[in-house]
Amino acid sequence: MLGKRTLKTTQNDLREITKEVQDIVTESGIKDGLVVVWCPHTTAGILATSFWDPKGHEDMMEDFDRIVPMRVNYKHQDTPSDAAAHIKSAVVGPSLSAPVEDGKVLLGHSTGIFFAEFDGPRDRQYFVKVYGK
Amino acid sequence: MKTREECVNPLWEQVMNTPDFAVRLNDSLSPDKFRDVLSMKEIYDIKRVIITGCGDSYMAGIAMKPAFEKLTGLRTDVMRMIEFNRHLDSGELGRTPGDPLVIIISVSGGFARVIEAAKRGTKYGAMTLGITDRPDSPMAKECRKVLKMDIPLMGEGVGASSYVSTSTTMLHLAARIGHVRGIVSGEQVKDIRNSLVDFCKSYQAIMPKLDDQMWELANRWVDLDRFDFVGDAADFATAFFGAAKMVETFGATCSWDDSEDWCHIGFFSRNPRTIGTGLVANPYSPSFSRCLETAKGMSLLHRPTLVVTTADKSVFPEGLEVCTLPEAKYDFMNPIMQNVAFGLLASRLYPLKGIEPFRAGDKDFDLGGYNGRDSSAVEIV
Repeated sequence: MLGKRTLKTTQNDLREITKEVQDIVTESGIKDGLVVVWCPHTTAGILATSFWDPKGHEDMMEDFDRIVPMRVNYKHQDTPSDAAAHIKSAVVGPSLSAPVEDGKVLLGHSTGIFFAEFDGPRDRQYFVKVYGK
Repeated sequence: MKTREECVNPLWEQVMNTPDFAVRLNDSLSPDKFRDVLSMKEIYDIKRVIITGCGDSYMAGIAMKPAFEKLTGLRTDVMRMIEFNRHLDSGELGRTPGDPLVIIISVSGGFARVIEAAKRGTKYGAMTLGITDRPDSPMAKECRKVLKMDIPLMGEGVGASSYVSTSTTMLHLAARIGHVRGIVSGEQVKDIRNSLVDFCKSYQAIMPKLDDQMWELANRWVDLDRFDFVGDAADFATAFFGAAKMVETFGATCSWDDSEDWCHIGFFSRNPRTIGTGLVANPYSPSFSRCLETAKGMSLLHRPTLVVTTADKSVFPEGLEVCTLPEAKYDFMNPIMQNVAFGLLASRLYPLKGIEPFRAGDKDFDLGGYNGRDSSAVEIV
């Protein structure tokens, strides 16, 4: 089964999508298998991190900026934000996979699945594919 | 009296086609075109924008000043070309490398004053950007950067297309600069582009009705030879455009001013019932209340007055001719299209008067080959 969701992001947005992913897994009826979350954009990514402290999310996005800062001399001359976002997206990656056990996405007690917007604000989408039986 | 069919002419055709033209123009101005004009570093070097041009180009600069300031976050000054070329202190140009951005607008890029502006700006270190339809023109060759307008063909003669082309090109340029600077997002740039197309399309539906109104008004105003146009800030561009078309088409005696100075000066003109008056008054303008006071003055003077606005007729004093036009999603877009009302009026007045535009065939206008625009000496001060 393939599910699709859309979202409107803000600039440098980290948006939790755990519930949406779990809903698609439940809807699929698959009890034992694998779920893949796929982002079709090249300036955004999918990642897993703790959902407890929103301040930690700010830390993470700010550190992405420190590692890949916006600068004006990128060879890709769209915008500084866009050029940096392509690199952040490649580093984080466009997808995440997780086991499905008893119809639940197998996550740690504080693990969430997040859509990471490295540019924005943008209209975005992601896909969720569930494999198994 | 001539019929409407007898009064069809190139200017009328151009104005009537302006909405279609504007839609096609937006299609031709692709985002890639603007991406290549200035690098990201060059955009970040800019701290101030100066826009200069003559005639319709200057008006387009005035029209797009609010868009430039809002979308780029940069201070923007629109200067008359003689002011920029001869009176602006050279120390204002090139204080730091690549600053200010000096946008020099000329469709032809060929006459003396624009060549002079490009030479002066470049000499003193500004980032000179020529907006022109002729990238091989003498003006373009003196600029550090050139943005070609790609004006779709629209017929010959007295035109309205260069104003629409120039203002539209500048709007897209402002959005590009603002996007790079992080003032507007990519989604907002898309929305601006789509909204502008929707706005131009909204005019397609009203053009026949607008033509009816301007034809009827032209018949009432056919004996008028003195005109006065009033508008504030970006609306001044529309007023100036209206005045220019009356002068170019049938050689009217014209003045143009903002609402405040009109109340100080123009108000006193003699024989007010013989002065065709155009007022541009939009409700989103911070000086709309002053424009309403101005409209009241025009009414009390019994001035034959055409109000161009996005507001309802009921807002204005009775007795004024009110032309209510479609409103853009973004206020700063309205001046791109509001000129069509005055353009249509001029296009109907000159054939009704039996006068050839640009004084063609007028013996009094033979200056023995003298052309003060092209032959003027270039001086760099």
